[in-house]
Amino acid sequence: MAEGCKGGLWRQVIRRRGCLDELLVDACSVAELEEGRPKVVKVKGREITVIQWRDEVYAVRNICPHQTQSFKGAHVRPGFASKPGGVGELSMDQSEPVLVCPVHTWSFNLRSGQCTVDESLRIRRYDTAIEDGRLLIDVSS
Amino acid sequence: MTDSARPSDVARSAIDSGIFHEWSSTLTLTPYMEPAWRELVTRKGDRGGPLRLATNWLYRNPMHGNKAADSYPAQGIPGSDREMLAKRPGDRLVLGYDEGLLATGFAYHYLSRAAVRAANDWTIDQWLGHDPRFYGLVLVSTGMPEEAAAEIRRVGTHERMVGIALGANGLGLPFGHPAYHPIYKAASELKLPIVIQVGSDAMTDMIVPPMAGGLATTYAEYKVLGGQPSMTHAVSLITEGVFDNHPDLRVLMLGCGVAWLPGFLWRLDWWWKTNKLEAPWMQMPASEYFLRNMRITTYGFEWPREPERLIRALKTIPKIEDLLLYASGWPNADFEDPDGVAARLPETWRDKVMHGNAQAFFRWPATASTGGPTKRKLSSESR
Amino acid sequence: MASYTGPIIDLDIHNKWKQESDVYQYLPKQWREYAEAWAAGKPPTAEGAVRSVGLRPPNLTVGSLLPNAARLVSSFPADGSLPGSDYELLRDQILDKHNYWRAILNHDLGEYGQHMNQYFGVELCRAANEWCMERWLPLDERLYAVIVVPTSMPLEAAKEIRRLGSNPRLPAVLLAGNGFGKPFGDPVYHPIYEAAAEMGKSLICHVATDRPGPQITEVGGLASNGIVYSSQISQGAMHYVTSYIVHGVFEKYPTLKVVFEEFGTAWIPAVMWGLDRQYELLRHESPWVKRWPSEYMHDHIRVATQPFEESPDPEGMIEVIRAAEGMEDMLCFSTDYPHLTFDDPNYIARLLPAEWHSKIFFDNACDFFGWQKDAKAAFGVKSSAVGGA
Repeated sequence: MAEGCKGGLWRQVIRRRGCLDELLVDACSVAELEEGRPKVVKVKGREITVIQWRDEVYAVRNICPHQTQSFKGAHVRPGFASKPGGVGELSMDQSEPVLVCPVHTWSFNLRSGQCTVDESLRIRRYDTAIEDGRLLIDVSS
Repeated sequence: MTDSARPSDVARSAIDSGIFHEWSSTLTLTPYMEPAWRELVTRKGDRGGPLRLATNWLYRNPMHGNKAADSYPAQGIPGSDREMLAKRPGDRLVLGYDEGLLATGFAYHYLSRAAVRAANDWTIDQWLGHDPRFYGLVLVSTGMPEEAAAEIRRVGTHERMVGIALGANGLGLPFGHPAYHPIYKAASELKLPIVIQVGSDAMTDMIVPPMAGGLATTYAEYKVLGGQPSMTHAVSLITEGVFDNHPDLRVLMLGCGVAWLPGFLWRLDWWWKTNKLEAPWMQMPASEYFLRNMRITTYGFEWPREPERLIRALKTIPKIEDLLLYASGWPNADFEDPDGVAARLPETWRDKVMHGNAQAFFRWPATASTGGPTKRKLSSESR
Repeated sequence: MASYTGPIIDLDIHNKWKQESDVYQYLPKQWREYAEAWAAGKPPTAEGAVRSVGLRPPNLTVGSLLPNAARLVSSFPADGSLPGSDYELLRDQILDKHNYWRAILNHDLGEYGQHMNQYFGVELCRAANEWCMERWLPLDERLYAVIVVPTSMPLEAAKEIRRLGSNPRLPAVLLAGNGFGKPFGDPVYHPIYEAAAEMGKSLICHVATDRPGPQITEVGGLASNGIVYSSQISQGAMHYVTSYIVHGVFEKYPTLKVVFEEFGTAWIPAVMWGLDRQYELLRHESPWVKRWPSEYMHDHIRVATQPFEESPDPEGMIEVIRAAEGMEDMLCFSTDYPHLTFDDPNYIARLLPAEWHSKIFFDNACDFFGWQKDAKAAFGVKSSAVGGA
């Protein structure tokens, strides 16, 4: 973590897609974010869950595709996996955090939005950027 | 079915995946034992007579024993007469055991091992060469899994041994528990499928009961509930990585019922999704392992008074007809001849259930073709 | 599939204490001292922490990996107390959020009688009944509760049923956990049924941990992971149903009805068809089997819908229900709030055919508890017409 920055976040690169700028919308102050604790914000009429995890900030649509419940109160953990053939073994990947739905505990890879227990399900994820201590969400992504 | 009845096409081409051959007396097996065990077991002069190499069933049918009325030979127990078995309908008869499974649950496990060794040698010697339609299952004693694995390797190479009869739950653990894994390793090496049979947990020397909620009072309840341990065994095999270690291993549930299957698969997936961290090595949903690696016999079906109701329920599983194998259950009292079973199946299912699925399941000698298990999904989009 | 806006009866809500002393205060002095001796002078421990006694008997560890203590995160009160202990949350999240007419409080899980010390278990059941009557029932007229009883002491259980049975807000007796390692139809439990029948109470059999010892919730050996354990939870109910028939419970007590909760529903056809197939044998083995088992099941057995089996194509589960004739008449809606296996009423309504809605959300439960008169008074129509289906 960079010294002197609250929460140790550094500036994220703003991506450009084609000739169009993304629609970056101010969501909240970065200082409000607590590591691993999702926060639901309302941005351009839609509810988005934002999560800070290990120096990155993720944003996903606040609807679990299982039974359309909110992610409010969800928690985040590292991804767990096992190598094929590694019966009985467990390995952990801190760089692939997973959001655990607070209702039926289905989990979603925050990087890709992919549901880890049902490959047909995915949650909508948004690109984010940080500017002057504010979290910006690209609602067009 | 009498000698003079002409078998139908269905009867002639059926593969019977569950027909039971038995030894009548310990002395049938003693010639195949090592001298010291033979001596111990024969007990010449002992008032008790030869040692019965078997534990006991907790439940027995009180109306007419567990065997069909006309299956009793002039001498010996039902299933012990080779000529009677040879008259049973079918193109191939996979000779498993019913009473013989009791040897696998015998408490003195070294003797149990001696018994199954002798049973396998006796089967090879007295049965497998004597009718081109006879095939065998390797009998193993699960109380010592490494010994069971050794037995599989010892006789499993015989080309007319087409599978393994798993028998008793010797350790009182779900069959997927790592303690049992040596058995699956050996089975997989020899490409032999496994048969799990109702009754694995219903012997007196088992420490696990055969139904949940305490012991049932009637044999009739046992007929309805006796498949319960096998349900646990199936989920255990799937979640403890047996099919991840051995993707080609196939397991047949014999006599365990089927009407519970739709809800079982749906509930299994729900809990796999919720408890996925307890089996992180699983590569696909739990139900897909079941569809790929497990099969179920028609013997044990809970046929309603209107049989089509069961078919209707089963059709909720895509391609369920690929999972079912005909088995007569002869000489048990509730055995079912091939024509009777085929008549209750949708026409499009008949060839698979009566013949094709068994063709793909067992390890037939080189002349018979087999295919490996294919991966399938539970939802109908996979059709 | 349509939504359902008619009145709901929920057969399974789990209410809880804020702290254990809430219940202990109703114990007689000697047993209160027994309950609180270990904790005396020590800081309060979180649920599940090591303790010598407690309101829940020692449990299996299978299932302990479930996140959020196997509860809906939204049901955790802000003050840090336990899910199910806060009436306002329960009211807002369930009773008021949906069109609730009545709901059954089943405690969490009401297995007080399963303590190793069965005498303590007896006292706890009485205390818990007092706690529930005094601290929950007055909060909301929609709340009804069960008479919790120690299944390992059937004569004491019978006493408790007779003590409280005249209270109409306690319409059922809860059987949670098998005290003897015998199926619930066994004659050892019959004093419970005699008392229940006498007092006009129904029976609720809810899945619960059995006395520590041989695991009899599912068989084949002790499950080593939660997938095996939870997916096989139906096994107990399958046997309990057969045992009620085989031991003639419904012949002896023809007015008795039992609802099985949190065991799932898709096992019903297997038991119904399997038992009917053994009809001849059953009649040979049991002097009390006088009718087809399926008839006993239709007349006396009900099954709560939660956890409703989720088939990949929602039609699948409906097909299974249709395949077994009359099975929709046996189903009674339940949520299991606040557990994580919670079934949302709107979700279930969408899964069920509209023509089954009023039956499953209301009529079947109304009949089960004998509430037809109350329903008529509340809605002014015959109960089967409520909900407009």
